[in-house]
Amino acid sequence: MSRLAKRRVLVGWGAVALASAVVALVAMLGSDHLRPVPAEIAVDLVVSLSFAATGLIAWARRPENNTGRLLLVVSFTWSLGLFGTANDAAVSTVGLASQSLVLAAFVHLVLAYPDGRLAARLDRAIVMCGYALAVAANVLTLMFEPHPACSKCATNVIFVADRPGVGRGVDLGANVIAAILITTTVVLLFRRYRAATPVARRVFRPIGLAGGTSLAFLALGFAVGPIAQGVKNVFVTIALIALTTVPFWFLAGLLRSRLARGGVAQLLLDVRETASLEEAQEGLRRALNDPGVMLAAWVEERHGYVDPDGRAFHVPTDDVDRIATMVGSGTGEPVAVIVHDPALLDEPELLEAVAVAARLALHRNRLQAELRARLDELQRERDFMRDVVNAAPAFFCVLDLEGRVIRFNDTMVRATGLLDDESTRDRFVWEVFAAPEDAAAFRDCVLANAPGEQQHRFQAAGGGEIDVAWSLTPVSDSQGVLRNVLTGADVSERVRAADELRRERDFLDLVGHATPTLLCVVDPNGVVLERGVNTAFADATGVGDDEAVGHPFWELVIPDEEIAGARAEFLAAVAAGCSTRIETPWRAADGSEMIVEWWPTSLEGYREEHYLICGMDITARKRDEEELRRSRSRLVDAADAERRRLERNLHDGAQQRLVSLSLALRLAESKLRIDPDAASAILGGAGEELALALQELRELARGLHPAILTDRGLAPALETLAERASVPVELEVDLDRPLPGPVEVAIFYVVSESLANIAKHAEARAVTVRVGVSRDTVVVEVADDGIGGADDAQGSGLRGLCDRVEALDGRFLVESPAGGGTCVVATIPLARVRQPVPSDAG
Amino acid sequence: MATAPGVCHDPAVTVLIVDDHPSFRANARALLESEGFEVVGEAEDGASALRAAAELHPQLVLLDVQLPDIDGFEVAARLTNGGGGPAVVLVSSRDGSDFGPLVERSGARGFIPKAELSGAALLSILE
Repeated sequence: MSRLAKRRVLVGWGAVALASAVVALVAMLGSDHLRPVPAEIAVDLVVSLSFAATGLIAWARRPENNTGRLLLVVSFTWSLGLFGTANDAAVSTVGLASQSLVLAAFVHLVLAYPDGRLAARLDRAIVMCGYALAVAANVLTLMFEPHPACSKCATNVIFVADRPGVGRGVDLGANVIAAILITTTVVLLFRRYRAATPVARRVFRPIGLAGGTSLAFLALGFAVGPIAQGVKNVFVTIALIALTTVPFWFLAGLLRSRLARGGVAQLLLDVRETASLEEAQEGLRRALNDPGVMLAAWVEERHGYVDPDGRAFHVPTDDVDRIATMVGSGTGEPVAVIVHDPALLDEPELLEAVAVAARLALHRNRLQAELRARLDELQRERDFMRDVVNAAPAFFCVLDLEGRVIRFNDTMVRATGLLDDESTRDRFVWEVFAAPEDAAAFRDCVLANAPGEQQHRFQAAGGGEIDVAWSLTPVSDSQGVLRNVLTGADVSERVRAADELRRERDFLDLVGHATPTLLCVVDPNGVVLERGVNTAFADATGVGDDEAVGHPFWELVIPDEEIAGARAEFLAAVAAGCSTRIETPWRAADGSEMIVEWWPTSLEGYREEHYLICGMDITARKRDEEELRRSRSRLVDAADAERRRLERNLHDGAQQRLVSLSLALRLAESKLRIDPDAASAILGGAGEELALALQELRELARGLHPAILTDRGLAPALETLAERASVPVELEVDLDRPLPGPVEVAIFYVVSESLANIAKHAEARAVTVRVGVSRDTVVVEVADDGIGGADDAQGSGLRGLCDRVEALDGRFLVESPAGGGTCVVATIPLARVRQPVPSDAG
Repeated sequence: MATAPGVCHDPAVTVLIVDDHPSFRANARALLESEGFEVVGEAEDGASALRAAAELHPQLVLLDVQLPDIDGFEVAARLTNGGGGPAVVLVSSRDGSDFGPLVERSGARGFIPKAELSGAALLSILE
């Protein structure tokens, strides 16, 4: 039904009620047989119009509720009953016949209150009985009493026969039944009221209480009517008074509801902005006067409702005593649920107001909470950022665009010992922080907004200085003003480490270039890398960095015929973990060939996939080894030759003489008896032979070892040699300590052999022999003034002496220019010669 | 030529003494001659020994193993080459065991250490 149609219906019903009242008023004022006093007329009008007005208001507010219409019915039936005062018989009859309808309508109103419906069967029965009794009793009375209201009234139009007994009987019966119906109604109302919740009682009270009181007295009136008309009138009067208050109670209820809505509005004001859910619930309870109201808020994260204690709240669905009213946002999203008394459904405006209030409160609460959370978050974030900025090992300093300090962080305070206060603010950053000698350069960089990382020295806390790497970043502050943020870090350690590293690198460079080891850094393919060869490498091979870089090192230094082998050796060594030492010839800078022992070393951990080739020129060592091998061989040969010589000498000398002696003795023996003279001559020859044999044996023994050297020492032995020499010898022996045995023997043979050579080849006239000790070295020199031209490489005697001396780590030199004499010098270190264990030979 | 009493050689065995030591040659000559041998010549080295043998045709060559030029075994081999040469007895101041099978291979009849040289020893080899 449209709003306009509703209004028309209301206006129509209002007009009917008003017309009824007007008709009743006209009837009362014009009545010639019943003249009500003005007070009665006024009461009737007030009752009729107040019910009508109240009914219209109720209908208008809640068209779906019959209460308004029932109020109108009460008003209408009240007015209709007043038609009985009309002079016209028909109108009067209608009025008289319907005079009791108002009571039935009133019972109907009270029982149907507050929702206008008769829910219980007993209610419907009572109401139906009431209407039936009201009509039937009056009609029957009119049929058998011509003037039931007054004797002057016109005869009613449905009068059949005058039977006063019937009339009284009907009246009595009607009174009794009415008393029962009304009493039942009163009892029902009383029980309902007792059973009702406070909210339901509050709703019920406006009409139910006043109506019930009215009906109670009316019942009493009907009960006592047959026996005490006067008492009945008193009760009926009280009942009427109570009845007349019903519309006012109803209006009072409306007013209370409106006031309650006002309370809800007040709730919005009362509940503070940061109210909790519990406070909002408490506010609703106060506003609704319902301590059972529960408020639960929707929590999106939990996808459900929570009560003020934070527990999950389950919305009741099957509880007839508690009704859940969902509160949604404007966009239909759940906000809250209010669980309340079902009676509140009879106050939908209040309920709606409460829902709106709850929504607003919670929404506001939520907004406030969100805002507060956001502010808290911002605050926490700001605090966190401040802590981070202050705890970070970095410097932060906000500058204006002219370079003046606005503020700086705690790290900078700790590092510089300066305070972020008036003493530093608004001063130029270079004046505040820079070390004096670096201030100008720092200022220039700041003013030029130098891009990238810069580095300057700052004053440090405690009076020192620190190296600071810094950069400038333009930012807008909270007011949108453009600033520069200087961010930096104390890099003193880094600088020191870099210096240390550089020094270490320089040191290693120096070592690398100073080491005699040939060094060459290559990749896994043997290709020489940048700055890959050291000085020793370049000097030894004649290949410097410029020539070497980018080439496989074997192509640079290895002779062509050895390249394939060297390459294979390198690759195999790399594959095997670089443990192999390789020995190959290399080309030397002077074009000669040297023997190099080399090995690749992995630089893993320092340079990925790089190898350091270390090479050692072992040419000299190899030569020495070869020479040593030869020397040993010569010594062995010399020893063999000496043994052969000795054997030969024995064989040719003493042995032959002994053989001859043996033959001579046997010959002499055979001649002894037959030719004693011959035997004697033979024996004499044998004696000479024996003496010669002994002489040769002595010589031989001397050749084996100079006995005098063992018995008397080096100096007497040398003197003996000098004496026996064929050339005059000037002997100078200057020894400050006893010499090791092997050294003495070597010296003896050097002198002995040299003198023998001089005697054989030098054609010298004089010889000088000098033996002396210088530091830990003994020097032997044998010089003659002969023809020279001696060659130690040719003569096996000199070669043997050289081997003998070198076996003692000594050096043997022969200077023998043609015509310039010969000088043999043997130098033997003493420290490295082991003293032989003394023998027990005696 | 004098002959040793009690020792009969008819005719006397002719001997060429080859040794580089004169004292041995002299003592050996005196000893052998005293024992009935006829020393027809002496040589001090291998070459002269070969020449003397070719010239003198001795029945026996007393040949020193160690000669200054040609090894005594070589000289023995040459002298006995073809089987028609003189009997060769090698001597040395060394022991025979020092030479092992060389003596036999050389074609010599035998070996006598110089200190044990005697006519009897020679004859025992020649027989």
